[in-house]
Amino acid sequence: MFEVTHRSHRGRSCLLTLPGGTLSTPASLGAEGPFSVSVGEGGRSLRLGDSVMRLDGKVSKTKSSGPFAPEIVGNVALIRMPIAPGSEKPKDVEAVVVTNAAELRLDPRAAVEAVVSAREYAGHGAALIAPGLADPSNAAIYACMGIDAFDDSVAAAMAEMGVLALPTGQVFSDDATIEGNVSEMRREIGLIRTYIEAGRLRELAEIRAASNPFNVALLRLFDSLAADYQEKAAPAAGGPFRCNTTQSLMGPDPAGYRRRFVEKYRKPAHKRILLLLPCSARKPYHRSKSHRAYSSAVHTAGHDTLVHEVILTSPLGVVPRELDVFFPASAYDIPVTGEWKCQEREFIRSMLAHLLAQGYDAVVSHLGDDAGLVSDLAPMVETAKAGQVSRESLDALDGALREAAEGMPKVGYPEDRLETTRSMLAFQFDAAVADALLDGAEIRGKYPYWKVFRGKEQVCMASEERGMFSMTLAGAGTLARMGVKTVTVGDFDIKGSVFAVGVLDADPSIRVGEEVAVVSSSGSVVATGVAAMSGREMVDLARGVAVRIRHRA
Amino acid sequence: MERRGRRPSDPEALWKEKDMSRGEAVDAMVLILRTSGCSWAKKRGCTMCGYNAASSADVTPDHLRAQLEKAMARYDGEPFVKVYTSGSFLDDREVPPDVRDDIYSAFSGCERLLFESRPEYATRDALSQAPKNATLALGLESSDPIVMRDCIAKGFTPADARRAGVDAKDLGLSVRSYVLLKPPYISEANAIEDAVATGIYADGFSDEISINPVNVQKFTEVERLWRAGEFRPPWIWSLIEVMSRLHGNVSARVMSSPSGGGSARGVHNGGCCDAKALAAVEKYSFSGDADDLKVDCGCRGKWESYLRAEAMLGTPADVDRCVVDGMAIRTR
Repeated sequence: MFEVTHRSHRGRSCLLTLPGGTLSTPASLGAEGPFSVSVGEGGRSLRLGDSVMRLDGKVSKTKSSGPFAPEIVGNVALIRMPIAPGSEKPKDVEAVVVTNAAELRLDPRAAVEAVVSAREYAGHGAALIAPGLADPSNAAIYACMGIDAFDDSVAAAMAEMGVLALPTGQVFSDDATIEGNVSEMRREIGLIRTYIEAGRLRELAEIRAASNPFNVALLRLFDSLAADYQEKAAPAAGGPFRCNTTQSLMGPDPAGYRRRFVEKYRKPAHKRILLLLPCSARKPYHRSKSHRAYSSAVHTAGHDTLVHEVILTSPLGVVPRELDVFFPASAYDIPVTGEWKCQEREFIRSMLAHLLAQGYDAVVSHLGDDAGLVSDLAPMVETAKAGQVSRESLDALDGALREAAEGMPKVGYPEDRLETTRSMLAFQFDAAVADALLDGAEIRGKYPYWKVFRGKEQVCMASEERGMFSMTLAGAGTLARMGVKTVTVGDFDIKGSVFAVGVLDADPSIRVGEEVAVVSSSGSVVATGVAAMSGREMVDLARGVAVRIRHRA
Repeated sequence: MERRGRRPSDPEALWKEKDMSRGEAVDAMVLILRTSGCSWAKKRGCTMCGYNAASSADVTPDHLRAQLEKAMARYDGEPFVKVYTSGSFLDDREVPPDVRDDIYSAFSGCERLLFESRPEYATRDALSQAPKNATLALGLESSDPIVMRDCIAKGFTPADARRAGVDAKDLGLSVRSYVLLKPPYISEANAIEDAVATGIYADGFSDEISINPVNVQKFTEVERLWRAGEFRPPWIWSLIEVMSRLHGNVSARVMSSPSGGGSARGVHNGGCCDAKALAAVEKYSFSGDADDLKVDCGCRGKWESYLRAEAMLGTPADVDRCVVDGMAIRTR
């Protein structure tokens, strides 16, 4: 029996119950107990509950002589990396064990490729166990990559070599003992569990990556080689998280936002004046003191509907005002010192160029000292010469916007809200879904609690708490009709939540936290709610909540 | 050692050393003939062998005679002569029978004439042509057929080598069997066990058992693995362990004369005692006195740790490279 209890991107906590015991991950297996790795005459033996299996033969081909076909022992798959392409895990296998994981410590690129392919082989419904892979300095990174369980062997081997195995890296010391190093490993596993349960394992991985060059490379290559793999497990909603290192710029949430922005976001067509604003520490931006001050200079008259407020920021690049309640714009935290790294400069500029190409008639910058970052990309008026929130600057901003709007036909609020909503829904789903949801619709309510009505029927509503539009049954009907974000369940009455065991099929693009339509096998909408696992997990897993239901038919 | 340009009329190498004959340390001449090459190297080749670099397709029988002539010019009547070809001395394609006869007669007067051959060429017929002072050197490598096939890719089985050794003995020749210490894909600990088992297996048909620790030769599978950190040449401690465990348990003489000992590509310890340990191996190879194998160095503990660490990690890869960050913090 296998269940995922917590998720943090690819990292997770699981319960693997086999005859003879339950393994709770993350874990580091020791030499004793129902889940353990022991060393004897003929090599290592792995005990998983009541079953014991040998991991090593006399002859062991190493990773560069692969690929290797998996060996199935009962409901356990023993795999050597690299795994033979096209290998398929038998359905009843609940534990996948990498037997030559220590060799992956030789080459971070091979390690990234191996972990990703091992996880793809294992799917979501099996624990992935890698004895010999991690030490206290990189267990968090490997957990972040999708390894569920480790063993104490590397920490113990480090003691044999006279090295203290610490989360911060290695230290040669006469005091190194196996017991000491193993307890460091166990302590780190405990910390990893805490970070997973907080949904912030990525941050621990970023902290640990700096411990040595291998670990730097490991996380860097994971981001560059496995972006899609990470994206599939990235949540669509979540709480605050920190971006404290250079590599956090390339983490799945910022990188995923930037990719989706370029792929899916289209500016509201009627907004002809681009206003560039700095970010604020408080999220969402519109709640901050500074942004309320800017707002007071924008919404001074009817020309405000023509103004497109766009915030320049790292690590997200650019965030249009209407997306400021969306995750991760609502959640990231980054130290601001006025210095920009070249990567930050690069993605801010390229994303702004992408937006500028969608067509504006005028650009006003209220960036002040940071204007130089983008001032060569388009002719622009600078209005924050004396600090962004001074009376003088705000007056200059008001004046510049009024001047820019001169002669432009006015656009009313209903159209402004409808078109702005279209941009938001296109970002949340795609342009076709946005058009379908807004067909014949009007927007009511006060930002950010905009409600989409088709006649008397509410379709969806945006909220700061959800950071997106939440669907009503009518909205879910539109999703179901279009075959997006749809979960098909068996014909039974839905009471509290939809459990994975009841899911027949699910859109593989569904991410944790997304709005989904729940339909019966006949295709009629039976409920709508929030995905508690990814679409692939809904299909792979036999246990756990798949969808938390908001409305039932 | 002398290496000339790669001319087919020059031997690949020729040098003088000491070896044992009739129970005495004597002067020996080693002649490496450049031939058209090992037949197995042309098909698949062994994982650790790069000697085919010493071969050349241009070599004709006349070239071989010229090589012999040059060797004779440098021959000072050493009682022991060893002729290697980087392949098989008994393979007619490498050394035609009439050239072989020339070599047999050129060294008919010495106490020992040693040549090496794969068993498929060491037929009863070929062996019966050899003079009675001849020693057949056999690359037995391992008594485990799976190690032979999967780790070494030797192209013959232990039983094939045994057959050749038994025939040679039967025909009155001597046999020196080479036992490989630490082929790729087996751990240091398993390599020790395999070499000891192979030594005991070889004892039935060998006068001498020469332990041959793998060294990393150019353009071999072993070199590829070594570069990737997936192979570490054996420790000298392991070599000493194998020799100690064979001592008293085999009647053949146990010896070893490793190539590249003490270097990163050869059998080595931690650098602290390599010269001392190799000297012990050499001394024992002549004396057969187990006391000569006793070496003291603090790094023996490191070797024991290495063996435990590789068992914990379950890998034949270089455990130091898998585990230790070389630039880890160290107080000065």
